[in-house]
Amino acid sequence: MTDTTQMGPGNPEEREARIAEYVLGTLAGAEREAFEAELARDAALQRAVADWSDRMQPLADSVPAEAPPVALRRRVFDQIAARAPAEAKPFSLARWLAWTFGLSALAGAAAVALVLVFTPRPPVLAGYAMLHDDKGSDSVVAFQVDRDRHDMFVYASTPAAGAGHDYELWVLPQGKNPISLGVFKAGERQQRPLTATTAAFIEDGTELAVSLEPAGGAPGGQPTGPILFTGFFHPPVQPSAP
Amino acid sequence: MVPFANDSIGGIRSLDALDSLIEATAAGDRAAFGALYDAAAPQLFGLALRIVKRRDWAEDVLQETLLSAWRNAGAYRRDLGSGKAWLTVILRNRALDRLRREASARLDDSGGDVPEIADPSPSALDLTIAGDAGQRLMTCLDQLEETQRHAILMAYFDGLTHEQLAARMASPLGTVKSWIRRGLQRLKGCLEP
Repeated sequence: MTDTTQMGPGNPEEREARIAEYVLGTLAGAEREAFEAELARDAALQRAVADWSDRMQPLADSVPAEAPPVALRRRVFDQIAARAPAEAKPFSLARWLAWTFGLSALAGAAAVALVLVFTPRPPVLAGYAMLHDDKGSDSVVAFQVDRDRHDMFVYASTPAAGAGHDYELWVLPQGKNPISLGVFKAGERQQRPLTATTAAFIEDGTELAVSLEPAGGAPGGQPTGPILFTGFFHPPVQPSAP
Repeated sequence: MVPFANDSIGGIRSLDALDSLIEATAAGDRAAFGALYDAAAPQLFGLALRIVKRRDWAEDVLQETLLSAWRNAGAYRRDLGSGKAWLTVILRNRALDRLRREASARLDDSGGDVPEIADPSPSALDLTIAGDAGQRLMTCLDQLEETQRHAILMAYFDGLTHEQLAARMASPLGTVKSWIRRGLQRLKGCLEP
């Protein structure tokens, strides 16, 4: 990425103002289209737009949440069932821009040039696992390990464990007893340090499981309750070179 | 207003979880997409309602946003911002498109302007924004002049263009533009120490 890219007419102040106005949404019609055409060609501009989006995000967070109609969820799932699942395609800035900012079409050459600017980076994560139950429900426990394998993150989109109980996460190394990764609550993201010893057991294909245990976790250090969710650890889907 | 921390996503700190759910969705994991839907849809729907004001439009906007997220999760990159901001950008763009499409259809029909909005935009003082980033933004919004703050919040929450804002605020277009421009400039200066 370089700041020497030509940004079109206008001084830096003017440019900065238009970025902010674009994110705010006050640009309309031809002004908006002109900006989006520039955006498609300009990686630095696109990053600045992402920065402004993050800056304004607390405003979106301030709006009270409201449950959408149940039927809408069904409609969305019907529609995705009718489509091929999202593929892990190589990262394409053109596609990212098109979908994020609603650009309808991009000049092929410009898009290719930008994809070259956005060369893939090393993975941020060492990997992750999505743990599901065997009933086909939408409950899921997301587990991830950072690139340096120093931290793990757990997020459970599941019903609460219930009074007097906790969910406990386990690594199931082949031919060894389960190793506890601790208890966690539904609906909260939890970050914990990962010991090097435990981290060494978590590799591509390692199975993880969540059991229901008495509050505070299995007293003997081995699972006692029913196994509710299982899944396998694997590397993240990474953008590959185009 | 209900702070974000009380909603189904479970608080600001849980939001990195959306990043990993989007990444899992990119791998075609429908259950992860279901979890993403459940975690993000209520907040997105609240925002859609706030911007477009009509339930039927808000439902369309939310549906388009989630389908877009399913199809394009593979294009999400966490180093370009949070998953939540990624979803918000998609939703706001869809909502603004919808508003502007409807407005131009209405202009073609009757020459009418944007509809009157019963629910006026909140002043910064009415906002409750959870989290450190929210507190910082609140503090900085409070430092703006009233007209600057008002114009920016109306633009963000009501999806108004410069022209529509000028009509709503009964002020010349150039004046409104400069309120917004100076307001955003000060906001950025304040947010960046």
